[in-house]
Amino acid sequence: MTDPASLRAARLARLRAAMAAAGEDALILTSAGAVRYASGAVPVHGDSSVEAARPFAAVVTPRRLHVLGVDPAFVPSDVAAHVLPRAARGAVAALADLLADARHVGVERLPFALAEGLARALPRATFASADPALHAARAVKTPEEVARLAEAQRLTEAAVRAVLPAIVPGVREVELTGRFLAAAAERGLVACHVEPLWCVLPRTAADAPWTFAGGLPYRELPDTRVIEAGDQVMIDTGMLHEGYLSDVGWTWVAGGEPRAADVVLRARWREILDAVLAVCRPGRTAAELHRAARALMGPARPAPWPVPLYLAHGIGIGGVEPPFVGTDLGLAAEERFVLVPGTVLVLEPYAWEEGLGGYRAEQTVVVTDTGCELLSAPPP
Amino acid sequence: MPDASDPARARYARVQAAMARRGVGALLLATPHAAAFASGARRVQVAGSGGSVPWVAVAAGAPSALVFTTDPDGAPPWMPRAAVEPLRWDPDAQLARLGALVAATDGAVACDVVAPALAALLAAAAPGRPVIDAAPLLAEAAGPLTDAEVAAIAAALAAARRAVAAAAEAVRPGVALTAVLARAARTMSTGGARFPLAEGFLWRARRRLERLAPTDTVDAGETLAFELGVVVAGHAGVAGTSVALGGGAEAAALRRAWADAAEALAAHCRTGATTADLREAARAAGAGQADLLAHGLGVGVLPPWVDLDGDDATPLRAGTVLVLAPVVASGRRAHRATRALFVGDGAARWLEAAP
Repeated sequence: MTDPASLRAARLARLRAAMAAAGEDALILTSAGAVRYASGAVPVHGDSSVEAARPFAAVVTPRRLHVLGVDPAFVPSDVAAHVLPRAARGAVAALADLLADARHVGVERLPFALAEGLARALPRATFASADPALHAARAVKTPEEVARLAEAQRLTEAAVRAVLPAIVPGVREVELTGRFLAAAAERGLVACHVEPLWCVLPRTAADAPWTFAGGLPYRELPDTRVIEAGDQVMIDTGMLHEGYLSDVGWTWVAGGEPRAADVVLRARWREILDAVLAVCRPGRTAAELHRAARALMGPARPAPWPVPLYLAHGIGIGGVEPPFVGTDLGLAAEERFVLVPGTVLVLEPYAWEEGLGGYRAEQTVVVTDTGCELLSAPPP
Repeated sequence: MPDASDPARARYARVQAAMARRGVGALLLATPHAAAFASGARRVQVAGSGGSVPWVAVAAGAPSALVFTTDPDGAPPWMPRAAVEPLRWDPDAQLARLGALVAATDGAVACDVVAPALAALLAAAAPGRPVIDAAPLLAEAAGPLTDAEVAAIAAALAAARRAVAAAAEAVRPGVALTAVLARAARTMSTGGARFPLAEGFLWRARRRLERLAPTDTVDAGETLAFELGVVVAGHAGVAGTSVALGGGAEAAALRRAWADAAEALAAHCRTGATTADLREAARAAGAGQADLLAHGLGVGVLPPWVDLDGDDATPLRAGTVLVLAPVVASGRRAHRATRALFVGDGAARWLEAAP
């Protein structure tokens, strides 16, 4: 159930190197992904209220590793497992005891009372964000991580594919969620990370719900809407498999028979994707991916992705990780992110045209020594 | 007066009232369920507790929360469009915007989380003003629930219970638990559920409950305890049960003992009682727990978290929902289930039939 020793060792080595580079002598990790990345322990996977009711954490120092609040059966046997009291007073005492000598502590989000108590309990420590160390470590995936990402992707795609015949006129968007989760569970995927989306895309701006200025008409919150023949149904979801996330995004025409407009839109999406893939190689920057997509559209047209989402994002033990391409972080930040072998990205351009509607699909790629390799199957 | 038929609007009114009572000028929320609770805004749901940068801000007296989102159409219809802004992926830009909002208010600033950058921002944007924990404020605003809110929670409970009942039918010796969970998933959408609250909790219910992985199986003669949760229309429902694969009279006796323990706990679920009273009642009934003895329910699994290992004495509040989850054991077998009730001024009212 816990992650294998080789995977854990490679990740922990990367994290400790990143800690050292960030000048931190301890990390307090509180997100499920970060706890698992550092330790291989498997915290409860659920929404934020479930995590609040069953809190967990990991403490990483250059020589020691502790996991708190995770069932010991779900903590690797060579990692120290501790209780994490629910009350802030007890949790502060437990963490402070493990951090006794630390002076520069990187922290993730902490509940208010816990953060306040730690600051009092460790008056000589300074606290900074753990994000720089975490992001640096997780930005490059090991081959073992890439293999897990590919498997998560393959299994999720199979589950989504099993639902496609059910996307027919008369079915309600929300009804497809249960079918998908059942198909996923039959393939061993039981931890749903991202709400499964089945949304009829707007064919005209007038059909679209309110979107922010400058963005293409778009819709991504499913409801009880009844799907009609020919509707362009945007699908997007992510499941957790052995600690790693999938991200499957396709557009499927209700009834399965694409019309001329659907073919045009898919071809445009493909054109954008190909332009981005052409520059997706080591040494290029995230900004170059951004420019490649925009160049096809021309300066007068909106960017080919929904606002305030993105053209691309990272993925790994978290569903949406840096780098981000196409957000308000801007081209300057994207220029600083250089692709290297082991960078894993989800590319998700969106083609939309007034009267024709939309087509959005996602492709996960890993940057290799010479270019990039798709971890996703082509959209059906 | 807020529209009591709109759960989100009723919650927002309670948040504003709690802020006024506590002298809070600005409330900043980063935790997804807390942010959804206060604002009523829906986003694509993602598992996990989110980041450390708030995406909902509430100013004292404002007609609605201010929401930073990727899904503007998830804002409630009564929220002015000016109160819905695009989520900023640049944390510095997001924090700067929040700083400007805080600076325009008076009084204390309440936050649900703290991160170094947020602490630094507040020191600059609200110098000299108290920065306090939002948790007590949110707990105060959790009730009293309106009839519409209780009905929404009851609908979510029913969806979860249907899923659990379907799953229970699939439990057989040697069957992979993934197949059991698949059976539950098939039914969840019929109740309108869009997202599972968590992966299923699975235990081998021996004298002591042992958490299982979904790839595990249970054997003939054993008992499987499990709990599933769903989110329906922004409200959470959870349902737990135990399925004995054999055991005959012993298993039947445990089911009766569990029902007795649940009734004993329910008898203490009234205004004026505390979480300490529930712990005492559980011990008197010979009941244990797996994770928690009981917890609140609303937009998620909420406080009070009644933990047999705890030492708090949190008052139970009229107008809230509690989920009771005692565990009883005898011989080599245990039984765990859940049952939700509404805490009123008098005796508690069950919100679902006995499992």
